[in-house]
Amino acid sequence: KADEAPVKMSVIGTWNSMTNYNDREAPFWRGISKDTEGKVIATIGSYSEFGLKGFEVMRMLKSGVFDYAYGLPGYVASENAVFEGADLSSVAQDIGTERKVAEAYFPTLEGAFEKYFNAKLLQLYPFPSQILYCKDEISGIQDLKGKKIRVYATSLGDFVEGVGGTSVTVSFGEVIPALEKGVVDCAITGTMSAYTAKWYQAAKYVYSLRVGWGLAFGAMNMDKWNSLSETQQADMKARLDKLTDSMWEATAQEDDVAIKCLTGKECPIGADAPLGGMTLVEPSAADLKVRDQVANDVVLARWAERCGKDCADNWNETVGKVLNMNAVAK
Amino acid sequence: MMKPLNLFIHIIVQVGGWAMLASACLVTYDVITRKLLNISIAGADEISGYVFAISTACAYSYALLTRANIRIDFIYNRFPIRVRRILDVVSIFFTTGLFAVICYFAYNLVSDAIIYQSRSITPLQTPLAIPQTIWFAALCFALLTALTLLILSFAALLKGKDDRVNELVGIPSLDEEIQAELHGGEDTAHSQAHLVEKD
Amino acid sequence: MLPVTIIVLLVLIGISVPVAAALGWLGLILGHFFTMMPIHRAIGDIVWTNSIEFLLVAIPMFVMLGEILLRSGITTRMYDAMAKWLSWLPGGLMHSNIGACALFAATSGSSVATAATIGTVAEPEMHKRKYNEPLFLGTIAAGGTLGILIPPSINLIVFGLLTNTSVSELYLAGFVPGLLMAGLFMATVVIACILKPEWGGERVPYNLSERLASLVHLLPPIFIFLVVVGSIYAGWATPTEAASLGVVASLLLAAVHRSLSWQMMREVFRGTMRTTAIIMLIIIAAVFLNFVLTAIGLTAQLTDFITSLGLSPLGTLMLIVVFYVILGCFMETFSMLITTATIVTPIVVSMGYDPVWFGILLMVLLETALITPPIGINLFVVQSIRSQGVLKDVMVGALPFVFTMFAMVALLIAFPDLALWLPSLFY
Ligand code: NA
Ligand code: NA
Repeated sequence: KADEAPVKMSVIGTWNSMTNYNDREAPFWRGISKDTEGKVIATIGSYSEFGLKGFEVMRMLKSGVFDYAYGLPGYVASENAVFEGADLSSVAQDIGTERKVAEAYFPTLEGAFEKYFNAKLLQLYPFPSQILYCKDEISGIQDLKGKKIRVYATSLGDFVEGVGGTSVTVSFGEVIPALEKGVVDCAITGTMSAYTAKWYQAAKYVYSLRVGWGLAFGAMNMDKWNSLSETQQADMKARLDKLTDSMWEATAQEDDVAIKCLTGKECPIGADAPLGGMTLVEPSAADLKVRDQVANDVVLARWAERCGKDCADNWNETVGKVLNMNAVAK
Repeated sequence: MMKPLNLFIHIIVQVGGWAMLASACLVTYDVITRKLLNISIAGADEISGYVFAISTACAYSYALLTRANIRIDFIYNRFPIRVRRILDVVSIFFTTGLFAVICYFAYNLVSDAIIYQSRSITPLQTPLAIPQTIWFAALCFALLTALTLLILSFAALLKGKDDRVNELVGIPSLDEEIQAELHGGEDTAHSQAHLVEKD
Repeated sequence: MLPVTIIVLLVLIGISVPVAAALGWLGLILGHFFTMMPIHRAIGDIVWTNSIEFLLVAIPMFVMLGEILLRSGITTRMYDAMAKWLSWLPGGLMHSNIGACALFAATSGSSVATAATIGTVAEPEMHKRKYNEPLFLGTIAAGGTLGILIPPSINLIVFGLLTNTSVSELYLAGFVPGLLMAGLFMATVVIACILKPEWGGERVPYNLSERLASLVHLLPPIFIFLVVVGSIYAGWATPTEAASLGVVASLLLAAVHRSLSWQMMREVFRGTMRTTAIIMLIIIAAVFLNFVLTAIGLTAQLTDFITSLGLSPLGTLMLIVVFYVILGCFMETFSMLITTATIVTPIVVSMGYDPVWFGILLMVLLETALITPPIGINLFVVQSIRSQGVLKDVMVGALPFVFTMFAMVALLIAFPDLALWLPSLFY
């Protein structure tokens, strides 16, 4: 096995419009040569720079185009619904719970990554939470009924249909005009994405019901991983675990910051950062109850059907225990 | 060999055209029902995407057959005829090569979709093996067309039949090009005749 | 790395390898020599994800729309009506060329389609009325370029896709500069014909009733425009969906004009599929090339180089303008847009310029590239429509309009609101 020769890594990070890439993924891999005194050398680029949409990265990791890839499990779910399990819509309202969910599901995903992509799962970390932005006033979950809502993933579509809305797929770049002109009434995306893309130009209400977390992964090509010595593997894992911790902390803060910028009187990002001026609508206890019902009857039920019985049972044994929920096909 | 190929290509181009028109109608229907009845047939855009991919892949053969791919003839036109014919064959060689590379790696994509029964991650949950297999077949057919043109033109080049090389893989003259613009890529009487000329 | 890239590209293009194949092979060659990554393995996924990209579906739709309008005779009638209204100006029908191009541009997303369509209709008039051929042809070549500036526009859609900029905002931003540029083209013709009255050709007088009667032929393009662009701002459709609506609308018009036939549809499909295949193959190859350029670090190198020059924002912008003008002489515009937009736009935006504004500036630069020799697609298109004469005529005739476009670039830089005012009313 390799010992003295430096390990060379080509890495594909997420979006360079997001702080996860700019402040953590990129600096980590760009600095790794210095941190390891030249034992690991890496290059990294973002989806945007490579002109990728994110759906293709896992196949590129598998074929060895990249040695290490970041991405969203939801984006690679086309191989199997099992990948959706750690980020099903509307099951976790706070980031602490979401981390427990991610940790409980880690072994399942680890196995799936090996089976489907010949990859070693090493990180699970969140993007700012996925919530709703609406053009017209809404006071709670019941107002979503009959609304056209922009979604980008199957599970979010299930949630929208569960609350009686119509799910519409609109590409990220077209959301503002779509909201502005009523092609959709509401749209779902991460808090910081909504702020940086200036969705407040078109939507006036932020409904902070967490419908998802944009959970992301970092994984290494398995052949690459196996080519590392045990010491190298342990060293790499320790460094990545530290990075993962910093990502959970940073995202928790960023989520608050983004919501402040969208709805508050000051934006902690900087003095000249624009204010969104949106109205914050927080979900009431009753809303959360309805949401649990929808999660149970629609989101989890439909997912259990897509995923199969074994997959659902496994989820009930792991994530289900954390959330006190059950995925059963209806 | 060219005659059945020619006919088949003309058929799939028409099928592709009708499919595109049908997807335009589907999107129009979706837009109207969404506005008037508040119903969205989630996935009109996704289906259009698949139709687009397949139709375009079908059209590659047609573009090859009608010598439509854009070539820059700035230097080319300064060479003597014989050199131009060699460049024509070199060009189709590179084109064939690119299609070969694309087909080779597209195969991995399609076979994975079949093995893992991949589905799209949209509300539509399309089994990806279906559109990808058809798309892949169309790509392979484009490769076959390119390969046929390469072999025929190379043979013609060796036999010194420069005009034949030009008809197969040359750069259409301006006269031919205007006909193409006006008749949808078909300089009708002429190309029908010359492509079936000798085989 | 950079010299190798440029040399390989020039050699491949120089020996007349098709643009798509040249870009694809450049990517494969660079990937092989400059990185350890097995980069060629990515090509299958890149081809597939871009082949199903819904934003790009607008391309075949706009092509089909233009084909239907042309083959149903709607365009010919529109041109005649334009002639009746504009031919009293010094320069006569040359103004109709520009006006018809501007109006057709409002229904079509492509400059080539605009020049080809209007050129086909206008060319016979040139001989009949004894116009100065080069200038007459120049108005078609230049007027045709408006196709990508006045919405709808395939190039603006692709720019939006590549740089994550709102296509609706880009469309709105293109209006005023598009109309202004049509006006500047007309002014150029007037000035030329005042200097050389014999260039102006014969004038045909039309009386008012003829003119009024012709107005009805302007309705079909206006109807298409309302469907394709109006539906976006009325909140019915996204820009991509709007292109599909346009196809259905043009088909309805053709039916109303009783010009639908199986033969016509066969030709429409042939033309549509052929053009789509050419464009898509270039897009796919260019996206793959962009992937490779990022992987080998060339993109970063180039960006670092420009930043390291330490120029002021305006200085950098001027450098970029010069870069595009030179590149535009030699490169096909669509390939140029795709290979450069992802590299250049972030640089410009980081200097504090508005991405929507830059999209419009870039369109004007691409329009320039369409008519600058030696490689200017619209020059070729116009030449291909003629029954006789040499390409040099078209190049000479288009030259004055190149300077008009430079003036437009200067205006846009001096007054960014030309582009940004209209979107600011809506967003
Ligand atoms: Na246009
Ligand atoms: Na040019």
